[in-house]
Amino acid sequence: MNQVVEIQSLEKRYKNFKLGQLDLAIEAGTVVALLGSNGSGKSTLLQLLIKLRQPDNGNVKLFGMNINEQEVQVKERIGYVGSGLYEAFNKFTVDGLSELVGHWYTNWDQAYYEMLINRYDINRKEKFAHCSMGTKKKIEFVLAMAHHPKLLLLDEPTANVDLISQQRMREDLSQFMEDDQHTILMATHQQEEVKQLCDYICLLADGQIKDMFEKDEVQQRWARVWLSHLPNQLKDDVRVWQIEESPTQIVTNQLLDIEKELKQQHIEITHVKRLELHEIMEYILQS
Amino acid sequence: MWKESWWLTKRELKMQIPGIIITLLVTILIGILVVPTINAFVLNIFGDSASYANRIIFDNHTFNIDSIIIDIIFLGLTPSFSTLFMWGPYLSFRTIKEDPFGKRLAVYRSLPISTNVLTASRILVMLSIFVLLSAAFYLTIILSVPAAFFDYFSFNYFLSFMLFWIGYALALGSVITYIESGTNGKVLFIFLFIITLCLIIVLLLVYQIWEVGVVEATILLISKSPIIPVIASIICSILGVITMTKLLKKRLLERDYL
Repeated sequence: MNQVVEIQSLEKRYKNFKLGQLDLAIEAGTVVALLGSNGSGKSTLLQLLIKLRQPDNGNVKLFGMNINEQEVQVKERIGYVGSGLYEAFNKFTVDGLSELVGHWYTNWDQAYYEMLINRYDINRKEKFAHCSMGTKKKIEFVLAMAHHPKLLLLDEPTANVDLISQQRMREDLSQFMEDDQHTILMATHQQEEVKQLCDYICLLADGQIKDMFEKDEVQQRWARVWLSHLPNQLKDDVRVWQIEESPTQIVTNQLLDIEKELKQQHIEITHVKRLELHEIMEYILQS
Repeated sequence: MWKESWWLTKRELKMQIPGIIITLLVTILIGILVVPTINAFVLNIFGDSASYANRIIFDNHTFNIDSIIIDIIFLGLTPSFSTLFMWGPYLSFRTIKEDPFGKRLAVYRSLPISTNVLTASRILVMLSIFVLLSAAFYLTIILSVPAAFFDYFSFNYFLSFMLFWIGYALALGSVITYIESGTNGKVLFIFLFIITLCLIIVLLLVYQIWEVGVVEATILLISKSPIIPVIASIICSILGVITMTKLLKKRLLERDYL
């Protein structure tokens, strides 16, 4: 397996918060969504990967290399969109920022940068300080893409961005993923992004990885099932996450097995509804 | 490595041109303010006049206000020539909360820039600002003192005096650079507060024990031994810069930027 991100026993402690210990492996050619409520540790994890924060314990390998030993080579292949990262250079124009950033990448593609700037309708002469929140996010996105990275670390890339640009970003990211050597790890709260782009979902809660699963598979497994009546053995079944009366219904994370068993017991299934992602997240996080 | 560091240094200096101009003008103004007192010191020590302008007599002790002010400038302010002390972060308490130096470094750390290049660029930025402001300060003094000044205190002596204080300022100034880039805005302000407190204590002790100003004592020292104190001071500054460079590089690898 070609693992792009390998995290082992990663830990970061703060006064009121602890991230980890985390173990995570991400293969090339996949898009992983980091989901979790505010303060669950998504941004901290991304910042640890790019070394904006230092771990208290654990190891991070990117592209098979130890980032502490081959930092420049590793970072050359990463595009990072952080939250308000470029605020410190808010007196720079957009083009000024691109010069500052582009200088350090041997792969910097000026023509591609200019294409993206036009595509996202960004005024290149505008000072960063004068740009709206959404435009700042678009600039960060363009700067992260313009050197053709192999790995994108995106921290809420479409936050505050207008709908048209959001769609264009998703298109660009889909195009980026056409090369199976590319990988994305993104923290997001946008269900649309997860639906359109992601292969895996990594669920974070209170600094811990609560679960990691394949998006399509999980949506197949989770459902709300309406029944003619509720058999006793289902009341204590771990595959049943919720039971409701009138009308009788259950929420399960093993739809196929439950369906099969109910049929064998001649219990009528009146209706089945697949759960939305956010509903599944909610059940997992509550567990 | 140095080529890349210099590229980054130029970018950063260019970004701070308004700050450089304002700090430069304030430095020249301070240089002008220092001139009458230095001139009075030299005349008092080597000439026949005893001409202090302002003094306070307190508890049977005489405090020469001129002396206190000039000591504060040389001991406290000249190390600040390694920073743009009249610009942005130094003039705002928001620095404590927002840590603008750390945020700027966070951008660099997200890019493929080695810590060697980043550390060297911090040192180059410091040296560039230090050379510019120190040159402005001492040139202002040289150009503003009366011609008779160098009759009493030769230009070579003044050069020694200047190098002595440059050595001191650079040694302490490199610590400020370390604090700026290696810690956060809160620590920077605490450090400046502690340094100011230490400075006041040192000055009070000096006045209490020797009843002489520090700068005045330096003029005397240089007139008796113009070489050894200068060499000692310059060596201290070089060692200071080298030590801080090493510590800063280590710190840049270990610190959190956000």
